[in-house]
Amino acid sequence: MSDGVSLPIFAVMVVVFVVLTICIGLYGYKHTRDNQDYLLGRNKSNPVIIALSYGATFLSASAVIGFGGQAAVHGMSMMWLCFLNLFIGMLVAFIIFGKRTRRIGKKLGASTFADLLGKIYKSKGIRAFTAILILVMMPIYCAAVLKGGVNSLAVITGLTEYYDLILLALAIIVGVYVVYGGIIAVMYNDAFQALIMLVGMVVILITTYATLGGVSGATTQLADLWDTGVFDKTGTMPGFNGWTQFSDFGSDEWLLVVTTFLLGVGIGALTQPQLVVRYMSAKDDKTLDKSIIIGTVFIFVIVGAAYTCGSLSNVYFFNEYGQIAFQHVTLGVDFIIPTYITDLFSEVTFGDVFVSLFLMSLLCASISTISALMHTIGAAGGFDLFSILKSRRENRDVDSSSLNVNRIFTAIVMVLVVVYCYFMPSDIIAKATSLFMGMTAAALLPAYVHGLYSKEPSKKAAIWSISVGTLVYLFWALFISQSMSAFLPICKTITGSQVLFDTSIRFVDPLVVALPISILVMAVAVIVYKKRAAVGSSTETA
Amino acid sequence: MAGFFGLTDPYIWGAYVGCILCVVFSIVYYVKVRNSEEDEEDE
Repeated sequence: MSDGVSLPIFAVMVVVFVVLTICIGLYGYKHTRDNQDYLLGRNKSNPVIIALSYGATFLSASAVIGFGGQAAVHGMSMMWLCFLNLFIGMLVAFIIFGKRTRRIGKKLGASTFADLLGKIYKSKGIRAFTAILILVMMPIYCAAVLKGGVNSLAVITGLTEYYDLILLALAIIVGVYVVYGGIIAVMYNDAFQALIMLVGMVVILITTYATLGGVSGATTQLADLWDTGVFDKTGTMPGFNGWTQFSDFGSDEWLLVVTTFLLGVGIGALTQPQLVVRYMSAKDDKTLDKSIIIGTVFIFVIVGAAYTCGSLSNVYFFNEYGQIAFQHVTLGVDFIIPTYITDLFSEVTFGDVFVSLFLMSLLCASISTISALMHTIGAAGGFDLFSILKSRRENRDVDSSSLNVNRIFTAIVMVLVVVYCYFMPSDIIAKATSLFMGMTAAALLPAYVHGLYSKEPSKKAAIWSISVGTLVYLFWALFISQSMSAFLPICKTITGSQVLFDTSIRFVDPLVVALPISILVMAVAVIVYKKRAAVGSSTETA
Repeated sequence: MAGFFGLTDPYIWGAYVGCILCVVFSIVYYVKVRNSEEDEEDE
């Protein structure tokens, strides 16, 4: 194990980074004249900025550290998540959802995802519910990303005794530029940070292959490592067949990987409020079309590199220490990638520079996502809920135009997120991501699709779908799913055991149950209310 | 069974191929959008 990063080199990089971040923040501040600029910055976003900002927001430290660590445990089957990120998260999202969202959002004058749904359905209730969902669930995701970034930073720099200080510094940097620079600062900083991530991950991928004997050589070693069984297999889940083979269908391993990691995150990307805003910030459809190529390449490089290197880290750790990744890195799955990078580059010329570069990439991955999440949470409270309250007070439909309310709200939430970091369980980065994405998809995806593609969106059907999707997801998450019930151990408090059934069903992610039910309820409700309306109008005619 | 850079399980190398196809599709899509834009300018 190396001694960690070279602090002088890393310090120089951080200073340059902070100066550039502040400059971009100032640019955002100067161009944020009103609430529309703060929330959407519609005319300031070109295809490159939209694509890189979308990619950097989509891929947080969670993708690199959280899911990269999970790839070290569950193997290259995680590459299906990379495929889903590209196919659903980029192609379907931009081509099928993005353009229509932008057009409808512009037509209705919507500024946030909650605002968009509220205006499509002409429902303050739906808008309020979406805003509250964001306010309650997003801080969990945000805290997980923040904690993940700080953990890695503290471990690699060896400054674990300054954990609180690092957490506070990171929160202040993000808080300041989000609060003052709004979406313009967030998106331009995202793009800048995305470039750093890109360089960092390409270097890591090349070094990994160079160290382990080339692409085929490294992969063959990984396959042989499992086949020859030269290590202690204790700790691997039933159904796991090695890092280069897919798990047995229906096994515990299969259920966890496919339902929680692949589907939970793969589908959930479509209803991410912070990503929907990226479509709405585009000037026209062509801007979105042109963004796709950059976003796709970016996501492929970052995610593909993280999952591939995560899996291959087993070969490295075995060659060096005679143990596979999760056995060697006892701190937890979230620490596998940081430990691997630090170790790998300790044997490489200019390794210190590369470790610092990786750390910067990690910092960027965390900051870009946290800033987008903070902006979204701030807008949910300071714009959506405040607008609803204002409308009720003034007894007319009105959207808040107060920049300061947004800013104050964002600052308050940042403080709450920092506090929440101290109460979170460990090894939760990937699972917290899955929880937030799954919850929003189960609750909002059918209503979002119906709202975008129906000529006469049914408000009542949307309310039914949202309510049932939310309730089923929550019940499954709190009482059935082993990984999700860790966030709020209500089942343990009531029954004494973490989940209701101690069978394989505990590995099934709530999304794969709640989303189909939510879709079914939406379809049935649309038909029922349409029939009722038809009967009503024919009775009136008669 | 044919391997793909050392990978023999089609459920694994299929994921890599799927990713590459997505990137190829996005390049084709970009070229198509750019060409249609140039056609509009010519008109």
